[in-house]
Amino acid sequence: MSTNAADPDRLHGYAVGLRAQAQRSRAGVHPATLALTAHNLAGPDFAVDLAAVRAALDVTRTADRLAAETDLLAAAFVAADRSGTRVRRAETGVIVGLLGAVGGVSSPDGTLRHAEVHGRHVRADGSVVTGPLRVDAEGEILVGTETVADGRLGWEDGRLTAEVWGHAFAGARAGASVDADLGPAAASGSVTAEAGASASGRATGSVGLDGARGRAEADAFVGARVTAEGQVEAGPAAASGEVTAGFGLGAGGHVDGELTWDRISLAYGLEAFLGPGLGWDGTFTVNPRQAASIAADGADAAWQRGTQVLDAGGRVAGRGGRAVLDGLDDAAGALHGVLGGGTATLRGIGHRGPLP
Amino acid sequence: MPFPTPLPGATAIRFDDAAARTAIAHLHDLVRDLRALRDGEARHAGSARVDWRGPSRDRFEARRAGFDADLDAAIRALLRTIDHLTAHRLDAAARQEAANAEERHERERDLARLAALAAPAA
Repeated sequence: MSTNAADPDRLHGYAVGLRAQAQRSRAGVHPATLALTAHNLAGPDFAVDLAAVRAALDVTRTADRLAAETDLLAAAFVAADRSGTRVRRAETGVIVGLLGAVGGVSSPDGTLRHAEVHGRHVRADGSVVTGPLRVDAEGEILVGTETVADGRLGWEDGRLTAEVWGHAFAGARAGASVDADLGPAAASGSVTAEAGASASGRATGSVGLDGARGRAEADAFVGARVTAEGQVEAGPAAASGEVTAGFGLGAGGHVDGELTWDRISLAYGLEAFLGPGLGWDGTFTVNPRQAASIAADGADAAWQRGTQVLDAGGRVAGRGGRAVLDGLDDAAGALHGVLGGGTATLRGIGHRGPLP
Repeated sequence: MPFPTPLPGATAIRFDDAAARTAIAHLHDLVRDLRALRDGEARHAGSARVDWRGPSRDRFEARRAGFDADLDAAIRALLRTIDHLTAHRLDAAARQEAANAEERHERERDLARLAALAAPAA
């Protein structure tokens, strides 16, 4: 069992001991200085430099600073303990059961790569190989609180950039992800279930000679929700999707802004759900050579529907969005034959999507 | 080794041996205290970092390493000062011994001269 956090009491003991020893050493500096000065006065031809005594005094002050820093470090660990972010790691297979739940890694061919316990946070990953099939799986369970806050300031491509982000979570969360590789086909998926409250935010900005750009986004949620996403690739075709279902109160949004010499732009998005919610979001891609003509027909239908609504004028944005969605539905239907899969449409009360 | 006392009539080397010995003693005390500081720091650090891994431990060790380097440099400087003082003290004592020896030689030569003068008379 090891930990990446020191025992605050031991750190404090270190600081106290260091400070006391430095105090004792400093007490000896003054008499030594006086004695050397008296010696130099008595025999000027044998004057001795006092630099060594000054160095001794300096090093006792360094010890004081080190003790103060260590006290601060101990205080930080105490604060981290209170917020539940103190990390403990278990390198043994104490959570092989969790691995079995997330990917069948407990089979004879499975390999436990890593397992750790972060206080109330359990995480594990491993792999299993059966013939040509290889499955990598990882899972985590968090019960309690988790807080993350960080930021950076940098210089990229002639622009001054800044970014800050933070995340806070209280409740219970379990997640698992699986990557499977079977020769020409590969699949990956993940599922996350959480109950409690979470809030996260991120802001980025950059300033250069050509102007300024910035983005801010935030998300808050109270309740319970399950999110699953997956992706399958086989030959030229690939499909991915994400489904979220939950009950609670959530809101999220983002704002993008740009200020340049020749353009000022602002884009925003907002989404919210209250009560039972169901959201769907997905993308389909396919080999352009095979599906270019079909996709063009579908896209053209979507464009026609959208422009008809705009031409009519005075329509509310929600209806326009519905028409565009219907057009996209047509496009997705046109791709149906290529992908051999289904399509989905936003439905339900309080669905997760753009606000009217 | 006690500092030689100047013989009457011999050149007295201008050196305050008592002040030098006091300074050396205080410097030795300071070296002892700094070594205790170093040993105590290492002992407490060993206790503090039990089962501690990660970047915070690395930063802590880096600060400790800097402090240890400064501490060792201070101890070495004090030891050099002690050596310097001790060498000067030995040099002063040797010069006083030389002055005393010269005085003794002068005295013996004078005594021999007096003896030579007294011998014919006897």
